[in-house]
Amino acid sequence: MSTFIQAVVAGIAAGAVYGLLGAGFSLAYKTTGIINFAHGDIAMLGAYVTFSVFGWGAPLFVAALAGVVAGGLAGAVMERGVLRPLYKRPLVAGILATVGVSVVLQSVIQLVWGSLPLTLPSLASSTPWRIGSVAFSPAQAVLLAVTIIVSTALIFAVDRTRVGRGMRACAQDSGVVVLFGISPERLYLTAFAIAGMLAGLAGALITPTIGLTPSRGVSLSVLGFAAAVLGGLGSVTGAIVGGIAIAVLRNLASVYVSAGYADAVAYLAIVLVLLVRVRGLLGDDLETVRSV
Amino acid sequence: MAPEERDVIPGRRRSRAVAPGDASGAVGLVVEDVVSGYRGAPSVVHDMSLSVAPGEVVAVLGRNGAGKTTLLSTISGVLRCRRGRVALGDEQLSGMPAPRIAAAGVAHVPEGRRVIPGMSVDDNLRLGGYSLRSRTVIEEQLRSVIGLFPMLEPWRRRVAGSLSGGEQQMLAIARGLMGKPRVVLLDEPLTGLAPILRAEVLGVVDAMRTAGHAILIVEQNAAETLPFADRVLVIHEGRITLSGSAAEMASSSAIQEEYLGLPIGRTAGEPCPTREESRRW
Amino acid sequence: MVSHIKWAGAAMVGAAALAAVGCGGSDKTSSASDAGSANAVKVAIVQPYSGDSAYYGEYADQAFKLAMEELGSTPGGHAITFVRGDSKCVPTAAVQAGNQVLAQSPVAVMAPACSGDTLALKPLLKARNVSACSINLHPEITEANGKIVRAAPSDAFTNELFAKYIADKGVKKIGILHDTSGYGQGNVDTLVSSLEKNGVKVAVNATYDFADTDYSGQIVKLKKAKVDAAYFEGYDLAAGNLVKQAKQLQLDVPYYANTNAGNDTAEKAAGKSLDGVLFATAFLADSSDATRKFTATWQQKFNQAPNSDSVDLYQCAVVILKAIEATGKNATGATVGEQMAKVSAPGVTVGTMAFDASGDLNDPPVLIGTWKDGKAVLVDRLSGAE
Ligand SMILES: Nc1ncnc2c1ncn2[C@@H]1O[C@H](COP(=O)(O)OP(=O)(O)O)[C@@H](O)[C@H]1O
Ligand SMILES: [Mg+2]
Repeated sequence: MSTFIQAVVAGIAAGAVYGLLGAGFSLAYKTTGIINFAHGDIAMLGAYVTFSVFGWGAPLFVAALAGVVAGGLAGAVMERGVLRPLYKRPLVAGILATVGVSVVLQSVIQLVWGSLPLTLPSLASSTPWRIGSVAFSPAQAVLLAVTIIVSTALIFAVDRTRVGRGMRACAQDSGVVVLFGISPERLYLTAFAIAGMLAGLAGALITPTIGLTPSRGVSLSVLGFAAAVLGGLGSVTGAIVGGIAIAVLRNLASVYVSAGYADAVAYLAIVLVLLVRVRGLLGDDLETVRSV
Repeated sequence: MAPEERDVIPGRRRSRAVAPGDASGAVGLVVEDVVSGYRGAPSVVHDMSLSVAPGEVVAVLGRNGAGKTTLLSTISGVLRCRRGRVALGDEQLSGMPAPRIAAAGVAHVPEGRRVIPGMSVDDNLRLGGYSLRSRTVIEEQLRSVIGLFPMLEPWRRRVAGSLSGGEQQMLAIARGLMGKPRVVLLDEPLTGLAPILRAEVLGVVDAMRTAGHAILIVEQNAAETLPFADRVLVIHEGRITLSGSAAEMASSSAIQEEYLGLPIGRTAGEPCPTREESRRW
Repeated sequence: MVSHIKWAGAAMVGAAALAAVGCGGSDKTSSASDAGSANAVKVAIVQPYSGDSAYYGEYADQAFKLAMEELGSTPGGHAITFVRGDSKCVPTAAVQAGNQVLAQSPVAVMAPACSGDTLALKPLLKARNVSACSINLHPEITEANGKIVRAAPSDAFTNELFAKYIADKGVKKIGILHDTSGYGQGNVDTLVSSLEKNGVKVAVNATYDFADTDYSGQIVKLKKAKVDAAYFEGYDLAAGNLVKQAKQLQLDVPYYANTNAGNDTAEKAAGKSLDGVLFATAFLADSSDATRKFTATWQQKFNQAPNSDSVDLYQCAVVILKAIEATGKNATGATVGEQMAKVSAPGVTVGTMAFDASGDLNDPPVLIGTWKDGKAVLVDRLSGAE
């Protein structure tokens, strides 16, 4: 039993970051319809910036904030510079452009920081507390707390604020919202900037566990995408739940089946969920129906 | 209209109060020699000129395809003027992007209602007040608009997509009023509604006139619109072919033949028209 | 190398593929001295020069630079020109890079640092009759007659001694975590068979992927199996990350690890968690006069601490230069190969580098090291003279 609990607890902590990745992914998708394959690379950029600022002597917390800002800037620049000129073209042009951005970001990272793996300390101690026979570390607690705070704020922003409402409306009918004084272009920029900040945060949070290598972003994109799809593309809450579900499933599969099949089991579960519920765990019915 | 009536429209952020007896008198919507059309296609609207004063209802009649929707989209900035100008008071609107025109006080209630189906009635209304910016002002305006549309009260938490056509039309008009507009453009608000609901919508239009809005209403359904209009324009193939006071028009033989003899209004249950300029992102 | 894409759709695969080809797959040519001289010869360096393993390419260049400063830049009067191929740590890329550089008729090849790349290159080297020096640990790298020599001990050899060492520590039931790379798989295969020969039961033998961001599932599995020791195999970062996460999850048993756990990167990733972890390696900075001297020189010259990879690459550079020197006036692929087979050169991890008939080092070094207060220290020497 304690094995089970331990696998679940560790999975929740790991999955929280996947959820943050997925939330940014979802937000960008929700407003623009773009599946951003550079999302994970923006996360790595945030992590590398965190690394550098920390290296210059800033406290880790401040360095992580710098990483968040860098992610937001990268998202904004990407929207303005790359995606905006493509809005009049078919959606697939924008999506392919994000693949290009991913490649460029990896090269830039390698040019600036080199390919030698780098590391970052975690925001809190990784010496675990022992709760019964289950281990849980302050670092994991911080991770979880940050995810809860940030995702709650984000969910509130999307559900309750003026700009959040604009984004949701824009996702459903970008043609009509201009009649209310909403500028879709501005919302796209905002969405990409926020998504970039979320990516940067996820990057700064996850690198103490995985370290920094230039091409790591690809696997982060996969995780974010999987979390967002499982949760229901477009739903922030869904992405968080989806991220945690994936990590917990992978852990349980590693423990009770075989580590070699962990991914297969997790992704099979996603496929099954999507077969039963096309819109994902928490996806919005109507939105999906309209966009299909 | 008495000048003080304009104050019934609660203080707009960008409104330029016109002093009573202002010499210029330019307070309403002015459209001058406008030519417009769709991207990559020949012009649809030609040399169109019209004006709508505050507290006035101007009806634009015309057959399907005459260019009525195109005219409204040009005023609200969804389409660009190819020539001519649109102004509200002494503020030039043509050339501004659509969101800024909306913020300047033009509410365009589009054809087919276009409510956001996945959002609640309240959120749809709040969306209409987007350009008011401040949360408290939006909530205040929400209360006052609900006051004007008491029928919306019981549906406030419902998802807009689950409302009937008539209910959605009410919502669409109410949403237009959320932004405290000076000008309201209504594109076929009666289409697809049951007679009782049509009367209700026209009652709302009447109240809006009393409140001092300048109203441009586009309709195929002349019989019901005429009694409510102050002035009427008939357009055909993008040009104004007839104009005059509602009373004159009601007795015009051309109108009687064209519109009153054979009402062309669509029947209820007809699907929403396709959106123009729609792109998913 | 990030070959983890199991599901995310064609576009994601496209992203990875583009990432693999996108960043500079060039083979640069550079001349160390007067390339126009009559006795000029070419030496090929096939290494990852782009991608996540590009630092190996950097190490290889540094290794030659240092070796030529110490042994002279014109061995046997031959001016050396380097031709470089970018193998990216991807076997298909290695073959492509190999074809490009071998077309320029080099007299010797510095084989890529990733075992999979070298294995893929072997047929090409054979077809061109060019010899190579490798630092790969995979058992099946070397070729007889100096065709492919190895300036490092093979995993088969290391693990035989390491397994016995682990068994002697009283370990009865061990859990193993390793990655799915060619090296990771090969290394663990030799370890498992040696452990079993020594009566140690391998209760869990689980894998993780390079792309994994979390190992808690695998580690919990080790806990569940109630193993009394754990062995972690991983490239630099992963080696450290595994140990760190195992400590976090309170897998409270002795840890054993592969040579990468002795690298600085691993220490940076894991910090104090690495204290007490026992790893088998060929190189420890502080294990002999030769290693201390080398470490100081490398540190001073390149402003970074050497690790077993950079040391072994340096040893390969020395072997290649010495073999070219020994050919006298007539350096060709064939003659350099003959000389490699019988070379006797000063080494760092071993006093003298000489190869047996199969191309492996005579008396290869196997050290047991651990971390203590941020420094890698020698615990035991299982093989190899200083
Ligand atoms: N999105 C569009 N693109 C190109 N032409 C259009 C578009 N929408 C309408 N039109 C054309 O413009 C003309 C006027 O249409 P419209 O203004 O919608 O007429 P009405 O509203 O009076 O029925 C028609 O000939 C129609 O075919
Ligand atoms: Mg129309």
